[in-house]
Amino acid sequence: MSLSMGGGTAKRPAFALPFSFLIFGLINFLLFNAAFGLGLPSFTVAWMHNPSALLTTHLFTLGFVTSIIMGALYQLVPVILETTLWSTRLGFAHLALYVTGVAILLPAFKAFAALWLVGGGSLVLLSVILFLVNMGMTIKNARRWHHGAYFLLCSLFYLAIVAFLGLVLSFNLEYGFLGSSYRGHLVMHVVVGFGGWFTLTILGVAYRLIPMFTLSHHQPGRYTWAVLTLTNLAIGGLIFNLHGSDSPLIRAGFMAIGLIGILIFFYEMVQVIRKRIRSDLDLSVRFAAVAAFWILTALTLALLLILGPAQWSTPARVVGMLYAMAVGWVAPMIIGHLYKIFPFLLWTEKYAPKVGKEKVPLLREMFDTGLAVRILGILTAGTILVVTGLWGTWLPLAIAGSWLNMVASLLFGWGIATIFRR
Amino acid sequence: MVSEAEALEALTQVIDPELGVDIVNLGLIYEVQVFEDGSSILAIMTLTTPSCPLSESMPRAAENVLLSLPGVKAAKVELVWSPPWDPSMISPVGRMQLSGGR
Repeated sequence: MSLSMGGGTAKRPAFALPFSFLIFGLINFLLFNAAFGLGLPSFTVAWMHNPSALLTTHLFTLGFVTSIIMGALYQLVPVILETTLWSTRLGFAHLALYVTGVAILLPAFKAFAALWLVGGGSLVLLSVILFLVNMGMTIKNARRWHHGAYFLLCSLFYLAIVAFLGLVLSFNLEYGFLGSSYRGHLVMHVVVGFGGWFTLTILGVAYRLIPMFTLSHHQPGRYTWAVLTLTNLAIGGLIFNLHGSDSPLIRAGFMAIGLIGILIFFYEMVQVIRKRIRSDLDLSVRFAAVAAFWILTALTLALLLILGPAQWSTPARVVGMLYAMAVGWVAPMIIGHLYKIFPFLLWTEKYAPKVGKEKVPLLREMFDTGLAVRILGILTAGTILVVTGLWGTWLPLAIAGSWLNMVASLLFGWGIATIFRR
Repeated sequence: MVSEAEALEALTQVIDPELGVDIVNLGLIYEVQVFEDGSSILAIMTLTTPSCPLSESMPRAAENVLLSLPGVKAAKVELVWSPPWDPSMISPVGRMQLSGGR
């Protein structure tokens, strides 16, 4: 199998561009699970200003999720918007800067080396700017606008903010100019990152892909604007509240608004799935069903932390809530779609020229579906143990769960490797 | 000389890699015309959605299949978006395949 650096076609960028981001993301997912298991005892004592926690968090957010999303968007955006990627060369420049920046940032978090954090963070921000320019120019030439595009525009806006905030926080570690507002900026960084960049991207892509792959008679549209409005309102409200009174009640109110938006999204997806023509449930849908449980759990836990007695809000429980959000909600949504994206990438590169000339495999024949379902089961079990252990203050249970998820990530990596060994 | 029915039959070799159903039974082939004593074929097709990631490979595959027919020297596949495809265009055979019968 050859990797083409140039080439690509009108709607499809060169194979190596999305593929490189996806592989980088996959490696970091493995490292994240190892780091979480090893660092968990220290997270339950303190998670802010904890070098292990910072490293682990950014292995997940930057190393895994952001890499995967960027790689996937290079593949998906030109197709979804029926246009061509504005610049493949800029994409490779983005890749080089991003990987270098993240490679500097991650050990710098562990070493708590402020100047290296600033350096790595600057490279990452610069790479994000290149990505945003490329996506922006691509979107500008879109022939077709639909609700998925608006979700994407919003998520790219939040990406710019979260990257900028990340750099500000890095500078602050060296110069301390944020003072007491440091915590507020950190929370904003998390809210914009998870709520804005991750969640809106996931919702926008799901709105487009799930009806397509299920061949559903029901096309979402009626409530899509409500979902977009409510989720943005929740994110915006949380941010402004942080800068204002930071009232717990207002915080809870905006979280509830976000929760309603998410519930409407899931209602629409249920309608899509109920009216599908394909009888088998796509893997991405099965992973999404599990993810749905976890986002609702994570938001509920967040509301409990906000509204409950102060003594409930222990570092362990905060970590548990964030883990539910990250490994419960975001990771399955990403992994479920990777079971589409990886095979499709390889199929278009290796088999598309042969269709009609010789027998070629179906996408689902390129990987072991049974293994994927087992991975989902292990991941779910592991996440249940972690969250239950952290909220029930039983650390051994949480550690066992984290290692179970390490097994899931290794199996996932192996499963993806077998796709490319064909 | 190749007939339109034979050309249509040949196109059932082109399978949508995501759905596992051929493009004829998916209802993606709108029209097939055979010209000049069977040496030239025009097929008009669509895809399940304009966003379909296979918008380049499926028409090319259809051309490859048509060109492999005996006596065919030229084949052209035109991709159209009107009328838009919808699931009701799937044939009973296609529906059976999608619902798990093979």
